[in-house]
Amino acid sequence: MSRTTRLIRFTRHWHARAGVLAALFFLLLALTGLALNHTDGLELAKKRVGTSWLMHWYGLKTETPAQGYLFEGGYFIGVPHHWVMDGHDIAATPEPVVGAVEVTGIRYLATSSALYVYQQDGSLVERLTGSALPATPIDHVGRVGELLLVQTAQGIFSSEDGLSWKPYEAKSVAWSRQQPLPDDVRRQIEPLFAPALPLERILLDIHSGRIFGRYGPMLMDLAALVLMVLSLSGIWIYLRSIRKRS
Amino acid sequence: MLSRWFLIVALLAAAPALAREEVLLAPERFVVEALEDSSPKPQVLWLTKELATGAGRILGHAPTQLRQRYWSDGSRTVWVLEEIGKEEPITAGFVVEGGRIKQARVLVYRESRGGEIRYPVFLKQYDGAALTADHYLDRSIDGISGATLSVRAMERMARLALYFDSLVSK
Repeated sequence: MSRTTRLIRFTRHWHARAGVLAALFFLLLALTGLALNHTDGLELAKKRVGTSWLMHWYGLKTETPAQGYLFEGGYFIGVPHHWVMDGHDIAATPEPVVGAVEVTGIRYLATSSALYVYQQDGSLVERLTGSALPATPIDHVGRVGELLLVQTAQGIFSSEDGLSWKPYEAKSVAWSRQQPLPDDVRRQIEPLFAPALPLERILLDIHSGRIFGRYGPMLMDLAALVLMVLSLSGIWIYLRSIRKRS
Repeated sequence: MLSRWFLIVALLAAAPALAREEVLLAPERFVVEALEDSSPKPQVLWLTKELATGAGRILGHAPTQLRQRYWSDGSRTVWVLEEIGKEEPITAGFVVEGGRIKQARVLVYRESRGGEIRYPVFLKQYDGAALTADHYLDRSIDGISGATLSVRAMERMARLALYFDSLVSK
């Protein structure tokens, strides 16, 4: 057996084995690459994945809030980026909530720079910011009878509907405060506070190898190098077989 | 250690939500300049079921709020609207007069890409635009490569401003 024949056999032998071994990585790279190429069309950024083993793998745990704002017929829980009202997610902001109060069936949720007006069914009536507010930052919200009150550094202001504001003279107002959540509410909101990540993030992590930990990207680099070697060895085997036939 | 690594990755995943908010012109300033009135009084348009359906057709989704503020001096109306481009809301201001857009401005931009829609050369395309019977603009707006979603959001808001104006200017 000549030296060249031995080299061809060796190359074929390892070309096949390396190909099978690296096939899983190639499939991962190709499938995730295909999906990521159509991120907008597939709405990958909007789809969220909360599979428990995957979240555990990412080191994310469920952190159910213990406190919230209680209304006569419902509740509101607001942590940065996640707001829940009566068991439903509602639009959230990164800003901390400074107070929440229900006045004549309308719920007012306040951050320091905005006041969110909600109906009891969770429909957003309006988000008040800037000149729609009497002053900012808002420190507290509260109620007196059928009046909504907001406390700011410029004083206390009252409104009946969140549209017009008047300065309010008051010695003491019971401002809204967070209260411990009843057990049934905590049970109800637990699934809503389970961690989840955008599908795009997970696919990016698989594609780059980061999902496999610190050495994952190096593993993917190795797979890419193997792919290069396989391409070259494949071309060489093909050219040899053509030459042999002719 | 592995958990810490993934926590960092998870925090990076939330990065778009922390995208920088760029205030190009404060909305209240836009209203003051548009109406040449130092303390314009807002008016309110309630989105009844019928109006919300009409607005939903323009936006491609239900309107996010039931009460829309606007300002008017009798001859023109001013609208400050918000619409998500890709992930974050874009705040834009529109002045409508005689059923046509007199001025369009990007007021607050929060997306990481597509901020080119703020430039006058793009916004000038909206000057004089009106609404057709089926609630589209009576002209085509040239897109900007890399800013497709922001351009589309801007167009939806322009149509919405004209639609709302047609309701309050009856």
